[in-house]
Amino acid sequence: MPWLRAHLHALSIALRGIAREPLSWLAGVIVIAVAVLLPMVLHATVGALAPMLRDIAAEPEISVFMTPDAAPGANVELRGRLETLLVAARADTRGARFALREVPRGEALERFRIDAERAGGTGALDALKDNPLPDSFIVTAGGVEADRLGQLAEAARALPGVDLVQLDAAWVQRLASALGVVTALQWALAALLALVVMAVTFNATRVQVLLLRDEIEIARLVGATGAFIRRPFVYRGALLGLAGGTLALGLMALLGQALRMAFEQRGGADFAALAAAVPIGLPLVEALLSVIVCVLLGAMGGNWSAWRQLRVHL
Amino acid sequence: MTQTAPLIEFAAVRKAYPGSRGDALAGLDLSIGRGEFIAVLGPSGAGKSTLFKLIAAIERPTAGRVSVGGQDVGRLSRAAVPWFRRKLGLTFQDTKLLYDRSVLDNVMLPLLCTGSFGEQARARGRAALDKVGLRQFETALPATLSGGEQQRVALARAIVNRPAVLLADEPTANLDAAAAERIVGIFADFHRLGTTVMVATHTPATLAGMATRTIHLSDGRLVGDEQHAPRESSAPAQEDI
Repeated sequence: MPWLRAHLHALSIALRGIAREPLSWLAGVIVIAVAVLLPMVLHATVGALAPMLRDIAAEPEISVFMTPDAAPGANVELRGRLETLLVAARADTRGARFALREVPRGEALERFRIDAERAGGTGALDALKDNPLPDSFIVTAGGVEADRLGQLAEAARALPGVDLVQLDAAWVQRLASALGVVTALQWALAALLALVVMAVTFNATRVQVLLLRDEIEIARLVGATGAFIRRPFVYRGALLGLAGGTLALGLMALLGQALRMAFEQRGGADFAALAAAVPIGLPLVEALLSVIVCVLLGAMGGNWSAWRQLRVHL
Repeated sequence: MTQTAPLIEFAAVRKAYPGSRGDALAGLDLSIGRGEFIAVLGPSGAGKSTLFKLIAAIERPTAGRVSVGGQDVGRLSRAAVPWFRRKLGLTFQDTKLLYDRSVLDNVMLPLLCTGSFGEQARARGRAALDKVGLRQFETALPATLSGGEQQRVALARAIVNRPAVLLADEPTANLDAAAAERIVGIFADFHRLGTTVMVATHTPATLAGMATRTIHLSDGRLVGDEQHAPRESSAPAQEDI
């Protein structure tokens, strides 16, 4: 297989080049590792925090208010319909927790009165002849995405006898937007990482091409194609990405372990929970993907730089 | 007299380098047949190196047409040039060897470029070194060899791909008479095997009796073109590698 031999030959040239100048290559590896480390840590942290946030935050509520002139017994009918909705929602949302509680209008008024007393006066309530509040239901939903909650509220709004549905979405929106910001930041950092890996390999390759200028010129004179000349630089870049990505994973594990130990040494349940939440590394598939992306970016940077140097300077 | 159909043709070729005052080649017309052994003579700046660079597609003509084997070399695409160069063997005054590689690695370089690796490439590299009498130095680094030996290594590298045309630019400059004679003898051997050989030199004595034709260049113009009957080389005839 001539193509395989050609690639092995290019790889051997790349390895020889690295062995000739291990320190400058290592410097490139460290720069890539540090650059890759940041988005990796952020990604792992978001991955660890997202389920925790869902669990520790107060579970969102959907308040379903009945029409004030609802017929007697309409609440029983509505409860049945809401339960049907929740059964369906539970079936298509894995890990979701739902609870349904009825709040009769008398209880609602009583709560309102207590709140008003705490706030300093019940004068306005005392002036009321009738209870203006309707019967209502409160649906609490845990482990449900914001979109699914919105859909559920919409479905409840469409039920007969329902006057008003309020989705207590403030925290959901805050959490969603916070996670959205972090995710956007993560993507921005990932793009930055791509640029850094490409820039480091581009520059390292540029220097190598210029150092090997005479050798390249001779190879060209004896009939080497552009691909033949570029191939060792592509491998060198790929190896740079491979080593940088792997080192980043190693550093992440070391830092995570150190942070865990620091939390655990402080003692207490809170620190133990924090220690457990510190990511030690990425899941295997994500770790492999990260390294593969680094390898590809390194190879692309090497190829692009060699192509450009050969075209412009040689 | 051209022995066979023209292999290399220059038609009104002009070459001017950017920033230089005159033309390196000024309207050159030249026809070279297959199997010729041509001595290209002329003082420094006569255009000898430019002639070779145009044949090897290292430079492109400013005007006119250079064709090799019917191919317009000046119009070759960038991607086609390496494939074209594999048909040529090139040697230079400065040998252009890789000094951190062994002699055999240097000779094998054109084979690696053409996708020939491993034992097959080593065998062909050794055969080429046999032809130039340097088989025993295959593991040596070029810097440990004499100037004449380095030139022979460069020659082995030029012939390892069995080129149809061998171009040697001042291969005997800086060599003593004995080393120069040995190099020229090797050229003559390859010429006898059918290779078209062009050797540029400004010491015509080294090629005396070997070349079948001598062309004289001066200021980028052809000022002389003589045909000769070659004498037999004292070197033994060698089989094709």
